[in-house]
Amino acid sequence: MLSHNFLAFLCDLILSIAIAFLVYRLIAPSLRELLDKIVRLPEGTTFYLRAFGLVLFCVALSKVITGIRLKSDAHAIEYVWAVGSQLSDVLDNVFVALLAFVVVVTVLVVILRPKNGQ
Amino acid sequence: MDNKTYLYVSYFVVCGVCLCLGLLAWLWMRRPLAGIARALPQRKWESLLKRAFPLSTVLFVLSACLSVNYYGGCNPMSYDKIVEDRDYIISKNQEQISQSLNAIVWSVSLWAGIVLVSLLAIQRGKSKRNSGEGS
Repeated sequence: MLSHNFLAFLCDLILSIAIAFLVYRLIAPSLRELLDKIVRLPEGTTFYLRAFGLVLFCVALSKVITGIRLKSDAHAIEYVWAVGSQLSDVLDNVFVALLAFVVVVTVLVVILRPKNGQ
Repeated sequence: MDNKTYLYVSYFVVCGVCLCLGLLAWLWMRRPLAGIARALPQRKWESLLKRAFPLSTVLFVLSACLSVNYYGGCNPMSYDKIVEDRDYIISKNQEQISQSLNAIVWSVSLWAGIVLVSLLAIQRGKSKRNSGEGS
């Protein structure tokens, strides 16, 4: 039978991947449009989109992978707290990654801005 | 499997997993980076970028994986205590993978900056060529 710690880890893993995927899906279309206009090199757009996705998934997984370790006599709510605490760390990391990427894209816009406001 | 064997096997397996993570990150980013490198005005710069990217990513990931200290930081543990505690060994394995994922993040972020400079060079090269053709 699967241990409670493993089930909590699994919940954590699924939720973290879902968060990273959701953030990527919400940001990617507008990011692609913006990059297409600014970079004007399809590989450049692909590079930044892939980098964005990779960073989001890695920052989410790096927190989750450390796992949850509670004693076998822990109550159900303690597992919920543990999952919540890990998810909070994941959200913090995703937030920082998102912020860092917005900074990078802003620098891209400033440096490579198209002429005549195109 | 006794704890001592587990310690040896898990250490090398996790190092292999971390190496694979670095290679996967390189494979995922390889094509777009090669496309950007091809558009660069200098051929030598192109080959430098193509070779430096996998090397830097894989080496950085490996370095992060190997940097995990099994003896512990603030509360040092003796070798005997490490071998006794299977949970501690598992937690260190997980820490190695976590550090490797963080290394991928840092490496890709750094390369995003390098690509930014490269794109600027490509754009300047194009505008120079266009102005040369115009005059």
